[in-house]
Amino acid sequence: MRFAIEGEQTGRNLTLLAGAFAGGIAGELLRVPAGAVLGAVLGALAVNLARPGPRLPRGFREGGKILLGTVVGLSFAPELLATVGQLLIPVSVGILLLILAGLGVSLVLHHGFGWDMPTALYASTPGGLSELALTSEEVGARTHVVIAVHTVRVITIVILGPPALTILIGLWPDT
Amino acid sequence: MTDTLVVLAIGAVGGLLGGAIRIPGGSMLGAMTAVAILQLTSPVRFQIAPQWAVVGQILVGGVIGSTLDRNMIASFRSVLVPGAVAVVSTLVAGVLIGSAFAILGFADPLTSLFGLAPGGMAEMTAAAISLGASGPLVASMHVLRVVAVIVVLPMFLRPAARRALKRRAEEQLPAGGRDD
Repeated sequence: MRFAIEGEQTGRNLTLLAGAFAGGIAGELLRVPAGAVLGAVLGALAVNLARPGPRLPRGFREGGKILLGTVVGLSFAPELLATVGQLLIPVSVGILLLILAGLGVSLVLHHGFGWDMPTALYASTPGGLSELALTSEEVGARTHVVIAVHTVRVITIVILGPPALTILIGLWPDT
Repeated sequence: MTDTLVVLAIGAVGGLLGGAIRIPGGSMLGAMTAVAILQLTSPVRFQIAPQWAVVGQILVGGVIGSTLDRNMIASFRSVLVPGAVAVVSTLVAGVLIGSAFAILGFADPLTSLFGLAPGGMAEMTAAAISLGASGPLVASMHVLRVVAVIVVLPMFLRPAARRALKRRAEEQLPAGGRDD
């Protein structure tokens, strides 16, 4: 019985991965901006809508993150470390502004839409989804709302970000 | 081939360690740090096939796509308008701040926009690499953002959230009193 369930889950994972790889490779071949990520999202989504079932286990995402971290780590060079050091203060200021913008949005959600403040604060803070979900639970925010908003944020930016930013870069004065 | 095996092994060890100590973005940060140390301290420069980045991007994208189903879409509907306000405002703020960063000449426009876009660290780094931005710089900017939000912000958020919860409890108390 247990083997049957495990076999079912393995089949499900393989189908989702096949959808993701088919979409990702198609996105790359068609030279869609960020085609691998976008194509993989759409490929797995298509499988999920056609055959609803459990999501891919978290380990696959961790594996993807480790691969990305590995590739990014290889690009490090002494000059780049110096650049990161020089950008520390401007990037921190940028992040502070991003956080302040989030706090402004939380006030709009609280006063304009009647959301309780903990939920409004955690829904509009630009942090990592899993970390925010965990900490929001600790302070009594409505975690499912926080997760829904952040999932939409990340998906929106993954799907719309690359084409939108490519258009924006095309309009950039120096390019 | 040996390069690939060495780099993937070091990345995996770093990533697993980073994941195990539960730091924000731990697995990606751990792999990045371990491989960066290898690259910066080794007399030879390591390289692996660029297709490994594509595999990483597909895995990250595949997991996101697999989380989307009809139930998830239905739960979005219940918070559609305020959720859209939160998402759009945060994204617009990210684009404006990223644009200012580029205009001030701190980094090229693509790196600035992806580095300060309020998306996930792995997702934004994956998209940035595929569009030709500086992956390490984008990743470093997101490390700072996540650390700032997760480590520093709760110091301010938790007291604010607790005050709000206390106020809510106090507001509910008189109502209970009337019942008595």
